[in-house]
Amino acid sequence: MTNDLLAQMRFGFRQEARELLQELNSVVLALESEPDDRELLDRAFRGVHTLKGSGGTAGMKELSAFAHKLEEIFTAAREGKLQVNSEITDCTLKSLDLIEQMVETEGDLADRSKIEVIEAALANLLPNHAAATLASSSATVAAVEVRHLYRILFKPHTTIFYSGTDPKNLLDELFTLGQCRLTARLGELPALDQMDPEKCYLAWEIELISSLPEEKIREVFAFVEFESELNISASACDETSRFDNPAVFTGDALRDFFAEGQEQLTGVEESLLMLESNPSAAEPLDGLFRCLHNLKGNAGVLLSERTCDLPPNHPLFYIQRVGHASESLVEEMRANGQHAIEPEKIELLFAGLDILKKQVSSFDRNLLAPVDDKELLKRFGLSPDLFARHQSPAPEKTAAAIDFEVFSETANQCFEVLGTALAALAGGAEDAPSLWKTCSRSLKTLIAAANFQALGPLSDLLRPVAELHNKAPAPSVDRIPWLQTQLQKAMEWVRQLRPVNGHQAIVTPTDTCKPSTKQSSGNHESRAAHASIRVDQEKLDKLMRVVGELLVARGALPLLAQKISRQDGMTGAGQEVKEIGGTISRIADELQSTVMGLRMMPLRTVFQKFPRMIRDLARSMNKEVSFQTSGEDIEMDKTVLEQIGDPLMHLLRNAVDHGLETSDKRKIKGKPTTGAITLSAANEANNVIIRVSDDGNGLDAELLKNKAVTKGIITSDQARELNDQQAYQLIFSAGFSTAEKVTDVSGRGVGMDVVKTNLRHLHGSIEIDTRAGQGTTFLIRLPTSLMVSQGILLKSAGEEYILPMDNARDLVKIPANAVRSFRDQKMAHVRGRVFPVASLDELLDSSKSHKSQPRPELEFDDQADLPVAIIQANDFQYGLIVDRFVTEVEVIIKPLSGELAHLRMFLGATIMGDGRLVLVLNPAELFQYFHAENKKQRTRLSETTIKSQDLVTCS
Amino acid sequence: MPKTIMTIDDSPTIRQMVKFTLKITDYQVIEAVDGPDALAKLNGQRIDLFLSDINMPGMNGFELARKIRSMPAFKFTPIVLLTTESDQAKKAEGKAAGATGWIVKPFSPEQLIAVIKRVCP
Repeated sequence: MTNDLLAQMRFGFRQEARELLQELNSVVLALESEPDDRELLDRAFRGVHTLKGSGGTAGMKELSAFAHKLEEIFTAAREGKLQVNSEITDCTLKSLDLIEQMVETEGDLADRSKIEVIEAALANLLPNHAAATLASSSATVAAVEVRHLYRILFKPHTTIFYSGTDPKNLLDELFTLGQCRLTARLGELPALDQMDPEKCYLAWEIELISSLPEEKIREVFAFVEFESELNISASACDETSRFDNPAVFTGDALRDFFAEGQEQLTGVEESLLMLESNPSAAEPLDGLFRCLHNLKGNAGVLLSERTCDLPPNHPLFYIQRVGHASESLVEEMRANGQHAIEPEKIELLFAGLDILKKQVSSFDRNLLAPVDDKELLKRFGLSPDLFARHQSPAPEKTAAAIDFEVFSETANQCFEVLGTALAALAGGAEDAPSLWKTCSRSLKTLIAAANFQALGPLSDLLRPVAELHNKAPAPSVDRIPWLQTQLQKAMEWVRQLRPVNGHQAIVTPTDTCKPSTKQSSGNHESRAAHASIRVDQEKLDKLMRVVGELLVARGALPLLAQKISRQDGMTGAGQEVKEIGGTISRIADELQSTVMGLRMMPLRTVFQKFPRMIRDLARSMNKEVSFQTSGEDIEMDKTVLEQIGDPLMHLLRNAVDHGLETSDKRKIKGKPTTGAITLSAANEANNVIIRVSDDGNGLDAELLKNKAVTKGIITSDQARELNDQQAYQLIFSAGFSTAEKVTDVSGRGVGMDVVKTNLRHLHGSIEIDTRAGQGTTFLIRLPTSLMVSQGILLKSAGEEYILPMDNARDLVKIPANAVRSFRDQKMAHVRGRVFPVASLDELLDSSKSHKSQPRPELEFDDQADLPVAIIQANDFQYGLIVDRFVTEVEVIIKPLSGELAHLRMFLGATIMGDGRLVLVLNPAELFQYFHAENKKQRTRLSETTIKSQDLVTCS
Repeated sequence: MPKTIMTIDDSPTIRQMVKFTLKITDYQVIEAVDGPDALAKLNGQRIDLFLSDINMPGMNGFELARKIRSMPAFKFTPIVLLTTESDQAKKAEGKAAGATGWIVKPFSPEQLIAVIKRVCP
């Protein structure tokens, strides 16, 4: 393929150019201090000259032309007409930078004005920079800039293959001449049984944006002009014109569309929310327009490739049409200024966004999900029948018909926009320039559409109108009536049109010549995305598990080292093992943090869906809510992220529904009528803290207790025993609800218990901080990663357990006589604070000897020191007395399963380096037992007591 | 796999130039001094493109093109003719003989490569 050769040459050139540029940079710098060094001058000249020559060979004409300008400087310097000074050096270095850019981007410079600026500067430096030089230089620039949009119809003779010509080669060649978009005409393709495989039945319609003259385009077809039908028409087009994409409808294209679509949808959502809170800002409107336009445009590009194959209710059609309708709505808002931004319109846009979201995601999953809300489509000015009609198989309803419908839709929309804008202008609207701009945009769209549909008379009708518009700065108001009549004529004309027969594929006319503001960045993103690879999450999980095992397994090495030194008396070997163990340890740590990093994702992915939810909720409840988020950039393990969404959603819903008062109530209380809800995240050691706060009414402990008693969740005796914090925790009980009436949002009593359950699965905790009348804050503490955690291996009553490090605030030894009993509660004085304490052994009741009978109170030997772990669980702190702390370990916690899953006092089990199985304590749950024990309401823990040995067989 | 091009010309200079140009562009080149020589050298060879002069002693380019085109193996193989005249009549004659395209002499190496790339990328 020709592209291959060119690509090869470019590749070679790039290598060469990089070296040349490097050399040139140092030569030019050296020249600055030695301006008369002949040798340096020659080197500089040669370098630039080579760049010019090789660049030209590699087909980089712009670069070559630019290098020529630079070469002139050194020619003059070599001839002694010019003395190299710092100014020249500056300019030369800038030129080299520019050349480098051209080399790296293969001449695809976004900013051509830069070239002109530097070229002008270079020309200025020349001793005899006659006006002619300048003129010629700008002329070259201008020549490069002229671009044409060629529309080519190429219909080879059926016998073309017998002349040794493969039409594909010609089409491929066209793609090297500019941006090319191609549609195959399949109209003459016979049925398979009638097809002669050696004949060509295809014809192609090609759109090509190229700066080459028409002869060059014709030259491609030089050999086939005899036997082919060839029709080339050229029209000048905007210098920035680009096709959206030289789209080939491949898996990649789909993926890119989806990825970009997600971004655009997020953009639409953000802009809508911003717009709603601040209707006077221009920025959200622009953002909204841009995102919708790109979304629609991208869908259009994909559609233009594959219309014939797609079912008529394909998501792409919805995306394109709803996107287009939304865009028009936004366009109208932009044109009409602030007063056009009515809540209903924003509401409609939100509804549209929902359709778009649904369709984009069904597109991604290859699903067809017809929009069931016909009313909504109607409100968008879209006929629901449009889609319905296609659903019945109607073979004659072909691409051309759809094409025509798209055209008339576009045309009608343009007429509408034009009409409104002209009326506003006639009425003496203030922002005339922007209205005129709107008019001219619509006109351009209309003409492009007419051209595309080969509706010559229409574009003839419109052209004088457009020409009028081109007159800067704005046509006078008295031409408006004439414009309106002209448009009226055009409208009538369009109205009389009927779809033409034939097999023309659809191309959204709007997009053929649109400026590519977002496009370049879009491309850039997709290019950047290629640098990353998608990995099946399962693989990642497996990698993580393996790394986890490695971390645990390495724990055996120090023990081995000890064994070798002590038991076998080989101190030297032991030392070596220890050292190697250290190295492996370090590598394992690094591996772990790398793999954990792979799984980390920003909280943004979870947070970003909430603003919309809050907004909708607030509206449905007639509350005014301002919602703030922060800390979206904090990263957490993907597993945690996936499970944190629901709890947060419940908390936020609860905050809007129960937390915040109605505006009226707030007014009475003297609070601002708009309630504030904040969702924030922050890092704290190994944890992430997520806060959900509202400035509402706060929780009422007494009310909660009464409610819990009436619901039968606790007894009134129990209620009396609860302190405020414990009372607050009642809201997490299953079946609990304080709502006076059940709303469709919350109040059924499910939800908050889900919060607690989910958080427990995530090894997280939740605390409640509430102030009557001032609001409530839920504080969620989560480990950043679930996989590997630090723990303390300890012994109690001969059994080994692991205490999660996150819960251990302090490990101390206290004299046994420091433990006192106070109202049946053992208390201990530790570091100036008093904590309730209990022995782990007692809590688990795991002592075999006392299993079957109530055990006597444990008596401590007054002389012995007791190892105590000060535990932090939720809001409570307590001391856990054990026999011995053994060591710090790294563990992967595996949840208990089957019969054992209900043992809440254990988070799970872990396998030690030497293969032993050890249970991991769940301090938050232990506290519940602890509490019960001291209240003499001992449950028969012994029934659930298990030993780790039993577990070995279970897991 | 590099493509194989057969160049048929009685002028050693042209053959030399063609061969040199194509070699540096990674084509395999088989030379033939005239039509019969070309046909003899075919011999079951895979050829991706023929590049033939028109005015040759013995068998002219059109005849050769017709012969080559009639062989099933080269039904679709590009045949490019080298011609000094660029008039439509000659081109039409070439086309009728089954030629794919033509290059007007004298030509530069770049032109040669451009044409070859077009018909046999």
